[in-house]
Amino acid sequence: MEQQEKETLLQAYYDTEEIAQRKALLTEYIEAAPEDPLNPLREALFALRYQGREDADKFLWHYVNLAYVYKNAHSRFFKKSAQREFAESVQGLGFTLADAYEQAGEQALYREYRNASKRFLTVCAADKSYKRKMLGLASITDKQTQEKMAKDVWVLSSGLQQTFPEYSVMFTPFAQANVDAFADLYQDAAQLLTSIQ
Amino acid sequence: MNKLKNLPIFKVINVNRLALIAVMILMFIIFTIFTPILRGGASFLQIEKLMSALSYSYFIAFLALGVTFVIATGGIDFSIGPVMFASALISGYCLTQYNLPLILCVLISILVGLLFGTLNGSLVSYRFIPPFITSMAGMQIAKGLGSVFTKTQSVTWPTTDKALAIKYLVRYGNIPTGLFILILVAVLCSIVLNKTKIGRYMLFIGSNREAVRLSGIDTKKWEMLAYMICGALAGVAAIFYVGAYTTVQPGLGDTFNNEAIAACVMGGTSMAGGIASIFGTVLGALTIALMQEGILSMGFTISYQYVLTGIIVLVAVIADVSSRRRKN
Repeated sequence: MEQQEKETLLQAYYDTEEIAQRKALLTEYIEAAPEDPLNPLREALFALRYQGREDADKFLWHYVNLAYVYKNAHSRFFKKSAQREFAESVQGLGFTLADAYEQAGEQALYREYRNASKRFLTVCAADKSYKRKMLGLASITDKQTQEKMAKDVWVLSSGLQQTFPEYSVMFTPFAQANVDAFADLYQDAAQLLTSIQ
Repeated sequence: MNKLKNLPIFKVINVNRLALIAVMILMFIIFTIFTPILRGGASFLQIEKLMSALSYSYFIAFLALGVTFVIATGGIDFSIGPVMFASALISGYCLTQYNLPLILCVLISILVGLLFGTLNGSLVSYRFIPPFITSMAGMQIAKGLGSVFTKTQSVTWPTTDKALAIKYLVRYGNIPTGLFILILVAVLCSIVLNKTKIGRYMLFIGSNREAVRLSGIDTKKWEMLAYMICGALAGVAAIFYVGAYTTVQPGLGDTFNNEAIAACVMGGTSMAGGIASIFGTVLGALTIALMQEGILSMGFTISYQYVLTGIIVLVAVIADVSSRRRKN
């Protein structure tokens, strides 16, 4: 298989959100490019994210939980548990898995997170509970949904980076993936994020 | 305002809760000043009035604690007041007519509440019927069931040795025993909501249900559990209601829904789901009880309290919606 075809296959893996399809694409890519040194990292990330299930994306849990952890990190009562939970999420999202792969590993992490961020934001945009107000009797407008998502993206990027500066460097691919996935969805993403800052 | 928000006190107590405490102090001052003026020398500062306010707050607080879990999931339960009355009627009828042991009647009360919670929860979670409709139907069923069971007769819990323990649950002389139990239950609820995975699931069901479901969490099961906790606590509230007022009439109880929901929202639980405060809910219930006692103490009828509770619910909801809009 040509290098171009391999890259297309890999890109398809990072563009797809459906779990079974992703699994098939990853297997196909590894068979086509067994020499790629990042394959073990991709497999480890896949295993960490789906944990052998085809109906569970554990990264989504960390996305929702991290927004809550951010809030708790600013409370005197819950500060310590927030720090502990953030450290758990660092493990759960595989921040440290790429340590042995240097720059290329970081790029693989970024691509996986971007896929997860896209899925998370797409789910948020379509989720009735995310848009709910007043006991579910009414919903916020699309514009307000965008603003709410922008706030979440800010928390999942700059907000957490500022709150946990000791993890700032290893957090970078995750933070960047969130911002870029948001920009993919909305044209005025940068403006929305700036208004929050 | 931002400088104020940076003060250390706001890191310990949320602004909403601090405002609620300020409102309680203000109400206390107003009632203390105006009661003697309006009632010709009668004083608000009496231990009996304080005990009465506390007795009223217990069952409202238990109802409110339960509904806090439901509102956290983004739902609502308008049946809690009638369920509390149905629990009190059925268990009281068992005590007075069938002479069942007191402890068994207490368990029956909690069980009746739990059954209603399970019914509401299963319809909302597994049959996807809107909580508004489900709990309205539950309200009617609870009202009807209490009446049918007692043959439309009111039930008076005995105040003799047979059920004296129930009175002592609320107060023992001038010792507010109910307050200790309320604090204990509130601490338990707070641990469940803030320190366990179950609580986290409930909060996230209210804010990001689909993302949580896709992460492999059984959202239906945990949503149903919230309604079950709410129902069981309505059963507990029934015990504290009869401990304070002894007589229960069939076909009533819906006025307490508003008070319990108002206590939640005043305490900082968001009507949109995903945000809940147990401490705030207890403060809200105490505020409502203080308001009720103060209004009666100043010589106004209970109808004024209904008007005020309605206004408080409206103000709290408007404040919740506008604060969300501001944050976004």
